[in-house]
Amino acid sequence: MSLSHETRYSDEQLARYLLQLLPEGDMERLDEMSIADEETAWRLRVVEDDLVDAYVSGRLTGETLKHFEAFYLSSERRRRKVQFAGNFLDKVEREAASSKVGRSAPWRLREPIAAGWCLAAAAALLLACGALTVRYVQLRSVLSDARGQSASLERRARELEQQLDRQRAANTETLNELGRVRTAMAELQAAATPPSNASSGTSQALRAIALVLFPQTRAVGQIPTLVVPPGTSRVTLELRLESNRFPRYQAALKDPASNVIVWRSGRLAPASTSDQQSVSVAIPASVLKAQHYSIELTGDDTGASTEVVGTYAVRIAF
Amino acid sequence: MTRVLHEIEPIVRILFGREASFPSVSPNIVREEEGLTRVAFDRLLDWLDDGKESNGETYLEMRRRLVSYFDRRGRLSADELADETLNRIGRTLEKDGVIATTPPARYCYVVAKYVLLEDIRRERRHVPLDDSRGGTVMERRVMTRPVPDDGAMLREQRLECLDCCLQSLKPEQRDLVVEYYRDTKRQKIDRRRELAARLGISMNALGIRAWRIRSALESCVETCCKGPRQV
Repeated sequence: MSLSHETRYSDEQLARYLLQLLPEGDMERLDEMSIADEETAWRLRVVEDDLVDAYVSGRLTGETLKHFEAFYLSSERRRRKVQFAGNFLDKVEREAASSKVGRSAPWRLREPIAAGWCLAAAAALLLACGALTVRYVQLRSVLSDARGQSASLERRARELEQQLDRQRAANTETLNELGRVRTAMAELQAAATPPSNASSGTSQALRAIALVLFPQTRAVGQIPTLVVPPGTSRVTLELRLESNRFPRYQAALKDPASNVIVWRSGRLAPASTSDQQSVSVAIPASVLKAQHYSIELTGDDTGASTEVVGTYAVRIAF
Repeated sequence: MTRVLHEIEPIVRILFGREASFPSVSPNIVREEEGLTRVAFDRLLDWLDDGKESNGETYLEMRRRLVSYFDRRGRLSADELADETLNRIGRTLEKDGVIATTPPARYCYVVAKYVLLEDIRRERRHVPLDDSRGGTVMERRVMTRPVPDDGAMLREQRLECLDCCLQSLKPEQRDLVVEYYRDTKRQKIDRRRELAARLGISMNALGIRAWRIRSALESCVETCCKGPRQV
């Protein structure tokens, strides 16, 4: 609490501050120093006592006396200070005088009545100390509880951190798995070219087959056919994108005759290979029949908006 | 309870010595009554300590300074305003965790200034119509203040209490206050200088030492005077 760079005020200036006699600028500076500067705070107390003692001893005169009575005595707290000073200085002077003639009993008591007040003072001290002890014990207990709670919360935080670490490890494993699946899909795609070959039935041994589809245009073209060999569990379609504007996509497999959605994918992330962008969708073979299907691909802007970005057609044969 | 604890603090110092580890008790009670949470109050104590464990002493010292500041600025409820200042800081620490302004005492002053201005504005809003031309609150209080003398009985009681409180001082403490506060003018200055030299301390340190004893006596007398009336 020290402001070493601040101006150092003399005792006289401090006394004038206490009587509100300094210019406003100095008053404010000393207001701050009385709180923020250790040395000034203490000096003010000492100067204030000396000022009060001077008033009690009748040594204040003129403007200082006038301001002391007009301002200083306007506060109950400060009036009590003055009252105490009167009695205190009286005692000090008496003690000083007795010490000159040889002190035998310092701070002698004032006749029998003093015993009563001493008992009261002693009782007040005992009560105060008792209350203090009780409160101290109570607070020790509260502090102990608080420490217990704090330890328990720390334990819980550690558990949650460990849980989070495990979750992160699992996520990493999932991502690795996803990478492996994509690699496998790319290999399958390479093995399945051209698409017409897919219908030739050369991949009967595969449990999953794949086909690349392009968005339908207005031009009437031949609808690609995918022959699904027996025992195939999953058909993977790579839907090429004209433009990749969404972070996530969703595919809906529709029966074009009834326009009924027969299957819908989860959220799909787009993938890029060289200059091509596509979305891979794996359809369970069990939902497929030998017929035409249309696949509607919807772009999903993290829930804010959705938009159909392309429609794909495929004929399934067994 | 709060008042009692604040008043007994100097007595405990007399009994157990200046360095006695008293204060961590009192502030807790103040804060609980004022509605500051334990977390906020603990943070306030740590922040005020600024890295040095004071066992609540820094808090008490800051509170005394704030009370004096508000009192000098003519506020009737200086204690409440000091508590309000510290409460606000405690709440800020609870909410934000840190306060960038350093040192803490300077920030206390900044908050206290705002609390003062708010109190002045609040007072202006609540001045009754018939009082609006009666001058400032300060002036009115000066005009109506009671005479310091509060009756022979009470004065007698205070003197007796002072006797008792003086007796609870250690001999060296009694000698110090007598030497320090006796005489006037030149004699007093010379005496203090000699005393400081004898004790091997500066005049400032001597003044602080004397002030602490006197302040403890003042509080002891207050507590003693309240005791019999409560019975």
